[in-house]
Amino acid sequence: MSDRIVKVAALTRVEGEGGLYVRLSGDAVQDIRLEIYEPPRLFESLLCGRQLEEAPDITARICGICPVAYQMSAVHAMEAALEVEITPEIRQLRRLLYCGEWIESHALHVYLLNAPDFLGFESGLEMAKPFPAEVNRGLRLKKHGNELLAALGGRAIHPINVAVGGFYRAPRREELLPLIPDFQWCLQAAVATARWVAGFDFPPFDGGYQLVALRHGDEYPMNEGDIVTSSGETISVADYESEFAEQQLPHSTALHSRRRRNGEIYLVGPLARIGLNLDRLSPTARAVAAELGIAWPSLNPFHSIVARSLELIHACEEALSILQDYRPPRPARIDYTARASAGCAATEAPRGLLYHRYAVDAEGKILSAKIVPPTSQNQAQIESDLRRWIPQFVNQPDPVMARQCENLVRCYDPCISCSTHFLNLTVERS
Amino acid sequence: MKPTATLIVGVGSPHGDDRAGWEMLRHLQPLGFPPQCRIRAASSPLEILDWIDGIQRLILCDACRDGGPPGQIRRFVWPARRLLQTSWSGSHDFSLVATLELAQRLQRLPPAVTLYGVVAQDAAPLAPLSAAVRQALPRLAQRIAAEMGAADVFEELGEEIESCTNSR
Repeated sequence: MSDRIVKVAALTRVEGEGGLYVRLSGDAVQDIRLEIYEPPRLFESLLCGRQLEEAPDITARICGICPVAYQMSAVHAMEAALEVEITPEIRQLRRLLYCGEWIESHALHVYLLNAPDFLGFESGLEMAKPFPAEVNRGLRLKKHGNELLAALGGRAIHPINVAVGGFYRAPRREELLPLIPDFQWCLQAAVATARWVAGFDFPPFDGGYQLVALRHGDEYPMNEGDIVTSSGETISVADYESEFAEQQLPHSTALHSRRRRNGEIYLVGPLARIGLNLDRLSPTARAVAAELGIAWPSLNPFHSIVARSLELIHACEEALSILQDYRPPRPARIDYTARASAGCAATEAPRGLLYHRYAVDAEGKILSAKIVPPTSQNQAQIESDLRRWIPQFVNQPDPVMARQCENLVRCYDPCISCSTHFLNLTVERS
Repeated sequence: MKPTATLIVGVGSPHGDDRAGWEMLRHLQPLGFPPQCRIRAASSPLEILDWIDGIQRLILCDACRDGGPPGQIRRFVWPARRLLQTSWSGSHDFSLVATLELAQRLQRLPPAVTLYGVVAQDAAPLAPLSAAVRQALPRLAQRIAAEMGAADVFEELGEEIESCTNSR
């Protein structure tokens, strides 16, 4: 029996670009590859030789959708290296900034990238005419997330205000108070979002995941915490590289991550965070989670849109709380002295755990950098899911099978340009 | 013709010629423009939707590729058939054209939309502008300033710029 090959040359509605290759022999899946081609690890090499203060600005350019995540992991890693202790007020302001990014990233993905799949549309564009109120709601959520980034970060695109030790400038209280009415609206809009997406039809699928996320003593994880797994482990971030390994595969220059101990693949992202931190959600998010009829932790990737929506509620509620009580941190930035050292940190990007490690010399020059994005860590899990997902569609025409594969991949909200650090497209049609 | 409620957006990224939209704004600002005009830099076309409500005229600038030589400038009046044959820089989420389509379907598109494209050479990570694009930007900024203001300035610049105004 000859092999049947299905190719999706370019995945649509994902950040960046990537392709999918499936080889079938009869009903059996012989090979699945999420194909990504790029100059490997370019940003890690670009950082070497630069001053440590430049790390937030350089890493922010890895991704236009999640610059704050890269900045947060960078500054926390540098502060770990230099033993800088930030104040609770600076910490709070960083959480507010991260809330802005979660809101704009999650709103974009839920409304324009993922929801169309559940409603049978080819694109968010197609969905706009029959669902204008919903699309406008998502766009307005994204807008307010961006406005928060601009207010705190100096600008929405590649925020420039984030510094090792804190911020170059803390916004005045009167600059942030005008945002409060918008975030009161955002909280209600986020609740409406979660209730809307919870009504979608979710294909049954048990991913059997090992969930991996940060967990903090009392907060929903963003910038700090230990790494926990659904196997019951607690792992210090300092031990990340002892526990998680990256490997290069021939078909992709994005590295795949696995557990060192047994080669096991794992899942990071909203589904993992909710599954491991449900009790840490904000009051409204917890209440809505309880009413939606989904048992958490869920191991169904199609429930990721609901997990993202619950995190939208959390981010809006936390942002509102911080805005209402906001007092500028004084000082805005903690002084430090450069010294030969190394440090690492992990923060929760919208798409999942983002790990950075740096070594610097006595003059503060970066000697080495390691960046492990969440989409890299999920790559192996995506392929594993596809291997189990595809068999039910083998008797369908190739375009139907390809579309089903795309729908599954999009649930992960893969930021392919982050996982590869830049963008290179190869298009083949067989 | 005095412009009213005009928004000028430079779309780009920090990478190579993809910076063109942002760098054009730097050339535009010293030329001065009426108080009813605002300028914005966007890294994602979707950000445009954050700013267009109530705007009467939208002018966009971005790097593009259409097989032409780097540094050449394209001008499109929405809706223009040739927009579909032009590749606009950047990836992430919605393309520039798809974003404008979305705005139109949501009935939020300003009455007048003009797109300026600068044909790009390369978009290597954190790379500077290519010489061809760098040399084109002052001319483009003057062209946009002219579009916002005096028609006689437009005449002086002549038709270096290929205009594409065919409706779809």
